[in-house]
Amino acid sequence: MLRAGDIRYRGHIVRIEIESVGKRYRADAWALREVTLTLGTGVIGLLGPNGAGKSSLMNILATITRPTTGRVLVDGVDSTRTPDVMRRVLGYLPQDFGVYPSLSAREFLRYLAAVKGVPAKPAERRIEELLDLLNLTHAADRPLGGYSGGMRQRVGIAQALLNDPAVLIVDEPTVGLDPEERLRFRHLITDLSGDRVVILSTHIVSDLEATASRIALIEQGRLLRVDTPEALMQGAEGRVWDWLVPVDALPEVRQRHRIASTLRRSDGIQVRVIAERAPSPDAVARSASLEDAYLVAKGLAAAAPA
Amino acid sequence: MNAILAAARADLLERVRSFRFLAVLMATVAMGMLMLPTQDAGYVVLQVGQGRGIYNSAWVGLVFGVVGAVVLPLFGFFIIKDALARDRMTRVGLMLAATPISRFGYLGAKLLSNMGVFCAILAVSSVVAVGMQFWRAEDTALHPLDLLVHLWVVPLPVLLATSALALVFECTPGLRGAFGNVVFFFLWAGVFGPGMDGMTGKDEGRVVVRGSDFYGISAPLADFEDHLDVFRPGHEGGLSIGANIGAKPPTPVPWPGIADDARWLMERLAWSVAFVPLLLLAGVFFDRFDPARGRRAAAQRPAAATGAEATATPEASPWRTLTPLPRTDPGWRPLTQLVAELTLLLWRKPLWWYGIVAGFWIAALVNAPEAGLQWVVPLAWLFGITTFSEHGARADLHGTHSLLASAPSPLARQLPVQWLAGVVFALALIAPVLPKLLLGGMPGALTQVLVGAGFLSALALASGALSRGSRLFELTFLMLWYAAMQNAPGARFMGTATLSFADSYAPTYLGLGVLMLGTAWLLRALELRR
Repeated sequence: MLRAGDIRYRGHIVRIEIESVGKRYRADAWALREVTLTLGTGVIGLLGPNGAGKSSLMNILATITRPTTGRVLVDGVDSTRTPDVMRRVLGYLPQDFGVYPSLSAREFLRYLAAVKGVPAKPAERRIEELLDLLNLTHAADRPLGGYSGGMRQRVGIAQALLNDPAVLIVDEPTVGLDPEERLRFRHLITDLSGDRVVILSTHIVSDLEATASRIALIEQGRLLRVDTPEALMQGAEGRVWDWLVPVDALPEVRQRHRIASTLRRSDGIQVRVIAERAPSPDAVARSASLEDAYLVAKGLAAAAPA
Repeated sequence: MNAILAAARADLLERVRSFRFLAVLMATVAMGMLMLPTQDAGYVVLQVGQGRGIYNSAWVGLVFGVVGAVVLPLFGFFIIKDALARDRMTRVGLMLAATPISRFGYLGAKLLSNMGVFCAILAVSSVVAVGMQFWRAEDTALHPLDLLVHLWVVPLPVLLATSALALVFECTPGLRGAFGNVVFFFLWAGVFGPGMDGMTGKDEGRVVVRGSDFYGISAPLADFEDHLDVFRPGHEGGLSIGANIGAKPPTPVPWPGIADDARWLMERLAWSVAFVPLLLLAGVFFDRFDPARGRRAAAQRPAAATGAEATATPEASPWRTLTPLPRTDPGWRPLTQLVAELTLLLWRKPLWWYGIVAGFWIAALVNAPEAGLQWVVPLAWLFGITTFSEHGARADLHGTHSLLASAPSPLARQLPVQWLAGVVFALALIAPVLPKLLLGGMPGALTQVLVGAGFLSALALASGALSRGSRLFELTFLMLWYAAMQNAPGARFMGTATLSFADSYAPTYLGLGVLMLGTAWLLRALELRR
């Protein structure tokens, strides 16, 4: 095992081990409990409802906050004790972050490159590439205070990639991005994921469908399941039904079944139902999407004995 | 009316459920325990002509009331001046702006909330005052009416004015930030001094003459002087409010108070009403959180929405793959980082800002080094207050904490460079003074200035780390600066031409600077360990 003094910047991390990590904010308020997970190269998507503990886990991985229990090993070194082992290789986009409004995007990125210890010359080249890649070159010299939410988010993505990180942690990265920019971001993540660890948390399931090689389902601070998107979808097969119901029957259907989505049609409402058996003889079995698979997994977890 | 009360209640709850509010109340208790010194304490808080009241309910209430009227507005302004800022920051203001509540209704709610904070402080003071009366035990007969009337009626109109003025400042572009805090400080100093002078009665052979003063203290103090005349005819000395250190112990005199003086009570009521129009003034400037109003808004408006640049958003460039960075160790590059920090401090200021700094430089160049040290250094550092205060709490003010904390060795690499950048900035404001002191054969004075710059930068970082905001530094700096300009002993942290390094206060400020830097380090380290 490496010791703190042996840590070198080696380009790529092959392994992050999360061991029984828990986070308690108040005496009885656990945001995260007993999360154990091993991460290698590729994109792992964290999926879960609001308040599930995704951001707490990301903050712990990014060394912003310390776990109450457990530890995180980065190539065998405990990053909760030696945070620099992670920080040296980390690119982090928090869910909420600020900028210095009077600086331009270029100046802000230069500042953060200096803070991250990127040498000045390579930093300049990197900044230009990132501005271009994130379609910010035209606004690069305007004060950040005048940026729209989407532009600011792209600056956040750029700063996370400044140091060519071997570990990229991005929390709700596509918030505020328009559909075209979101697509561009997915390309970027796919490009990057070949030789680094990418941890991506989002509510937008299609972002994960497009990029994630593994998905971790988190709810109420606990890790429900970790699997490939394909396996998750396979597990939901036979539990997803399309059912056409009259408009006035919808409230009752909602009460009796778990609804994944509804679609208004000229002859009624097409309801996608998550159920073990067909909710009606008229219902038709469908292939599961990742969103369906997520709802199935949540339902199974809720039904499982504590 | 319900909407106003609901808005005031929500705002007050948001305030009182913060650690800062608890700290304010704890400070109130601590200050309250110093208000009634014993005869051998070596200081006096309130005395008239070398006399003070026996610590009965009336005098105890008056002491707390006078301090509440004179000192609390200064600290209180810095505490309450965030009623609108908080709604701007949290975006709650946008939601409220879309409701039927009128602008005056909204400002009325904020006024009530501001007064709620002051009333909480006065309530805690009342409890402490009762405790102190019994603790000192000069007169243990508790007369609640005497105590409470003096403690509340004296400061209330002043606090009402402060609350309304804070709203005017928050609504007025240019006065919302640190500059407004500086303006208020000098306003406070400008009103207090002449206010005190106005009530003295030297021509009439009295210390205090009764008048309808804003602070409401001439009536009770003149009445006290009448009682003092009975016990000490021909008394000498003046009026002393605040910590008068080293004063001779005053003579305790029984004083029943003026809680039943209808004229005085009516005057206080009139002063309370007199400041309500300030609320109307605030309403004139209030932008109702309209993001399209004000100069700052214009600067922040996305260019895509402004005319010629509306078509400036280009098509996305073709997809490209990022060039990998060379695999170097992300080591500490202090010089690069220093340049980056100085960019934050010196770059993108408005043109007039550089013009004023040029004015300081010219003044330093054309005047003798002594004059440079006497005037240019303090004025230039006062001018730099907004930059210093932001520097100390930049990550807190702009929400970049998580970006900076996830960089390697955030504390060890960032804090020393931030401190150094603050020193360089302080010295840059007064650059010509330094060679002139050296060439003028005043290396001791030069060293004092260097120590002063180091202290200033450390004070900004410590205040920022302690308060996670800019106002603690602004208040501390302004009080120290004002004391220095009044030649208060020990306050001249920017150096004195006539003193050698060893004889000056510089060694003390060197130690204080180290202490401040250590405090900033400790607090930020604790923050990182959460």
